[in-house]
Amino acid sequence: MNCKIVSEFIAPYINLELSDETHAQINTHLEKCPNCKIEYQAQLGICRLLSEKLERLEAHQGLKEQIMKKTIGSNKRSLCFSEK
Amino acid sequence: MWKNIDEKKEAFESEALVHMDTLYNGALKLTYNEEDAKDLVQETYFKAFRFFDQFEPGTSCKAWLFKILKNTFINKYRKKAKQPEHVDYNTVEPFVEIIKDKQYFDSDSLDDSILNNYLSDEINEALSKLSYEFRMILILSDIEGFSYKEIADIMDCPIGTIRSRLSRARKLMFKLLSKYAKQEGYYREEDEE
Repeated sequence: MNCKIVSEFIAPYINLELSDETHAQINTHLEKCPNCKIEYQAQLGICRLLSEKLERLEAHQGLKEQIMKKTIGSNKRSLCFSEK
Repeated sequence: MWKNIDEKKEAFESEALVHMDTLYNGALKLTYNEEDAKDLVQETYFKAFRFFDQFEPGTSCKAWLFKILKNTFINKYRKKAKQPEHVDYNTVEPFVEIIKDKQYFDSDSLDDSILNNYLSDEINEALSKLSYEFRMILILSDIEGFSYKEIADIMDCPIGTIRSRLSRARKLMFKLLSKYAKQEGYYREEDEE
C-alpha cells in the first residue's frame, strides 16, 4: 500500500470505519512511514480536540419552552431539559 | 403508526425533543449567529413534528433531525452566502499542498461580533473560518460522532466523498490550530521529526 492510498484511508482509520484487514494494513504502514505518521497525528489531534475540548452550550430555556409548546403543546419541564 | 395524537406527542418528546441542546450547538456552529441558530432549531423542530410520520422507528432520530437542520440551513440561510468553489471532494491532495490553499476557507460568512462573545475560543474561531461543507462534516463526525453511513445520508452524498471531505477538513483545521493543538498536548512536536 503506497502513501497516496494510505492518505485516503487515514480519516476512516481514525474513525474505525475500515475493515479489519485494511485497518491492519494502514497500521503496518504508519509504523514504518514517518510522513504518513505526521498526517495521522495531525488528523487525530484535530479529531480529539473537537470531540474533547469544544465547549457545548445549553439551548436557552425560552427556546426549549417555545418549541415544546408549538409541537407537543406543553412546556412542562421534562426529558428535553435533561440532555447532557 | 401512532394510535392518536397523544401517542405521537409522547414519541416526539422522548425521541426528538431530547436532542434540543445538540441541535442548538450544531445550529450555532453553522450560523455563528445566536438568533439565526434559535430560528434554525425552531424551524427544524416544527418540520420534524409535522413530518414525524416519516421518521423510521429504530433508526437514529438525532441523524434524522440533523438532516432536516441541514436542509433548512441550506434553503434558508445559505442562499445569500457565497457558494463554495468548485471542489472535487474525491481527489485527495498531498497534506502540505492542501493546508496552503486559501480556497477552502470561508471568510465571507464570518460574523466577528459573535466570536467576541460566547464562541471566542480558538477551536470555534478556526471552525468558523471553514466553508460550510467542511464545517458540517466536522460537526457530524468529530463533534457528534455520527457513523460515515449516517453522515452520507444526512449530507446526501457517497461515503467516499464523506471520507475525503473529512480528511480535507481536518487538515485545514490543523493548519489553523497546529500551535494550539501542540500547546494543549493534542499534537507533539517530536511527531513531526
